[in-house]
Amino acid sequence: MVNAKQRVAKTAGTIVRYAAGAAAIVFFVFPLVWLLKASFNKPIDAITLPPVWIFRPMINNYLEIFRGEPFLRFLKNSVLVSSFSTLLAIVIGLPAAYAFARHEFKGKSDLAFWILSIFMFPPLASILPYIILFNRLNLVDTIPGLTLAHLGMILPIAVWLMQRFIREIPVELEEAAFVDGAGTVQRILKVIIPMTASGIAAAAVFCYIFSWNDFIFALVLAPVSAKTLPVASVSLSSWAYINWGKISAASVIITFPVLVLIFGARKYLVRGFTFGLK
Amino acid sequence: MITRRREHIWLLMPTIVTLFLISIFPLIYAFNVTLRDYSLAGGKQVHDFNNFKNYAYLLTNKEFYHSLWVTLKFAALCVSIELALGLGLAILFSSKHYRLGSAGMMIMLPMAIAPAVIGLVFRWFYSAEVGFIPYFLHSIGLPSPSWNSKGTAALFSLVIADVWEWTPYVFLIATAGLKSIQEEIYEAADIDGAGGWNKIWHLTMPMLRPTIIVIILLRAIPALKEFDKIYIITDGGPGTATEAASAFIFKQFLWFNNLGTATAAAFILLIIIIIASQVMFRYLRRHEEW
Repeated sequence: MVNAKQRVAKTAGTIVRYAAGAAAIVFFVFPLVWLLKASFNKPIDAITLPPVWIFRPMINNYLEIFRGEPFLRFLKNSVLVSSFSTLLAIVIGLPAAYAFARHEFKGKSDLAFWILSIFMFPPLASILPYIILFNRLNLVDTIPGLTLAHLGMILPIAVWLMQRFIREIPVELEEAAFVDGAGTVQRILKVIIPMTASGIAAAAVFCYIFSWNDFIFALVLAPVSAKTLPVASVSLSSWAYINWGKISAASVIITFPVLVLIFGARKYLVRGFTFGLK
Repeated sequence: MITRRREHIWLLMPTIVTLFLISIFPLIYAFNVTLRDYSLAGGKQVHDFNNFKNYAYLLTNKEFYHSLWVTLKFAALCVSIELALGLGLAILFSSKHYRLGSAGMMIMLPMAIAPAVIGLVFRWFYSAEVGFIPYFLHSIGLPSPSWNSKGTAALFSLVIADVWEWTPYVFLIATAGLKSIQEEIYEAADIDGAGGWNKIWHLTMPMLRPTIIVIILLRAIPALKEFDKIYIITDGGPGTATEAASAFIFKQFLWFNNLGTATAAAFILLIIIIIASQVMFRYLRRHEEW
């Protein structure tokens, strides 16, 4: 028997849940909707308050950042740095991930946590020596220089995520290949990579996003010719008159690829953002 | 097992060599820099050992201590608000009948957005002339704090941006933690007639403790080294009110061109973060199977 009091409590609970859910969605989505709207506004409408929600969308802001500013070059820089650093992190990290997942050796967990702790380091602690070292190696403001700096940041995550995904593959599959006489390299190539393809792809997605979204390494190490999109869009805001329409368009261009990648890797969202820790 | 002895050394070699060259060696090099007078300004090529002057300077510098205090305040506020909101939302939507579903996907968006973009949006939102937040507060009849000129308001402007960015992350981890708490226990509690709050307080909270600790640690460390949003939204201002450790280091480097002092400060921050992450790892290692 359900009495009236319980029914009231239940209804109240439902209302609270819907209200909280709606408030949360509005709160977390609103700034993004705002950016998207402003990016299609005329510059003056972008900053009009109260906001005008019904308007004729125009793509001038997008055209202008590509025509008026070298955004195409910044986009290319971003794509090159993120792609190379991700590729290197996966190729270099995969054998280590395999060793962590399948081998037993002394000091294994110490080594694994030492690798992860590198990701926790404050970027400035390595950026400042990079400035001096890059000066000597002629790597200041170059794509290879920034790629290396990003590799140091994302390689630990790549190793951690991939070792987690390799552990999820039953070891028996490999044993069958071992009986057939396949060595470690062949087992990695013929068993591990095909079986963990989507896991490796997810690890690559997270590495790519960390590199793509990076601000501080790029700000210091790639100030002019190797400038990436996040730094370029922030420098749009350093003028006396800030054109928020253009900044919105640049922000949408930075954000869109990330959303596509995240959607592709949504199954791995929790593990990806917690570095495979439980 | 199927592995040959010592093979792991060859498998690990590329990663260890790479990390040594691009992460560890620069830190050793950096330590050397902290012991010297170092400026990138032209001409001066001799970098003499300066008898720990950089450290002495920092340890007697009020602004440096102030920056550490700002860092702590910022991290404590962010972690506690994000934990309360994220956990609250997760509990609210943990029951079978009220899942967020694809709307849940939508509130995940913030953590994928570049910090630079988040910084820009919030800087815009707080602007006294064209900002949405002052406009919104006024339109519902509330006074809007002067976000850019009052120290406390400026600190909170950063905290709010961080809460926006990371509460969904806390929600995500908390939801995963709640799912792993077995449903049977809940059902047993239902039969005993335990009410909503009782259930949350006496059953959910104790079982969620490992999850809560993971959340605190995974959020505290990034908060301690926060730079991007501070640089873009307040640039440490007004005055030095929001100048957290990273912003202090950056200023030493950029304004004063004092690489030795900046690196020494970065080292002190690094040590603080290593201690914090060791606490985290010691806890996590008990829960990981290795």
